[in-house]
Amino acid sequence: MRLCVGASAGGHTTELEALLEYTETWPVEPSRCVTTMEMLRERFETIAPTTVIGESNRQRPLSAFGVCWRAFRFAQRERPDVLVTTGSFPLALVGFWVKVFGGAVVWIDSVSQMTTMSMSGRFARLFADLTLVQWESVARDDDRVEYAGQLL
Amino acid sequence: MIFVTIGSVIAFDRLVEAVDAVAAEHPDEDWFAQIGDGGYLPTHMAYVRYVDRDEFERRVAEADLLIGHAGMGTISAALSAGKPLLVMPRDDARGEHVDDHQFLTADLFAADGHVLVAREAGDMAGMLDELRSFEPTPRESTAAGVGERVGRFLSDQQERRR
Repeated sequence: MRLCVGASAGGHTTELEALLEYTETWPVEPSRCVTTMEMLRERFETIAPTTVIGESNRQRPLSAFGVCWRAFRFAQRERPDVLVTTGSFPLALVGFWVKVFGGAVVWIDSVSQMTTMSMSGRFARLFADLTLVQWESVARDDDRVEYAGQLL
Repeated sequence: MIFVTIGSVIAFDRLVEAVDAVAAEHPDEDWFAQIGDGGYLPTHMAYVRYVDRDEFERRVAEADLLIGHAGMGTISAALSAGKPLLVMPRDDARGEHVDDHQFLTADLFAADGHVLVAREAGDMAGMLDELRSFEPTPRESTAAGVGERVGRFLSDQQERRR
């Protein structure tokens, strides 16, 4: 089973690394990583061969097109069976294409989202197979998501 | 040593400038700042733009006091190391982040006694004294639960995909 893990630069990467400290129960290791900044490649390569797809956020809306294309190409080439991601939006785009190509997606919304899910999380929730939030109050109000703990 | 960190993604000149002003009043301290992509260059602190993961953890371990943005990576590192941390939340109204979640983060963690908060540059000088005597409340980790839940999902998927 091809497992891919991914995270945007910043806190999302910190959260993914925290998650990867607790993989004793995982049946497979990640065979591929995806991230958004070249500066992080070396850090991710310690986990698995890494693809960098670029950053995109609401302050630079046009960047989404390039990232979406690279996300598509990544999913098409790699065909992960599962993508596990701590966000953010570029990784939601990767998740979308992973689903299109027959894979499953685990979305973990950021621990900084204390009262509502992030915007990209609400998008990912539409197609993710497992959506986790890191505050019980956020999960309580939404039966589409689960709370399983906090990464940080 | 007082380690000042603004995180790896967006500049935070307001914090760096505020701490630099405090550093000017306390030249006896050993100040070290990670300033990111910022335009403001400190004149009373040694600084770099970025530190890698290993150096970040080393600086946190060596520091007596920590000052930073209210990012979860910074807060988590401080709590893991049991170091007193003063945070200044990034303000999206001033273009310091994409939204205002750092205010909530700061307030929530301060309420549980994990960090001190200075919202404005003016609050910073007074807070340094408080930071020296601050003993942060430890926080229990629930990350294993997340790992296990994902592990269960992966095992499930492996069954389905046979």
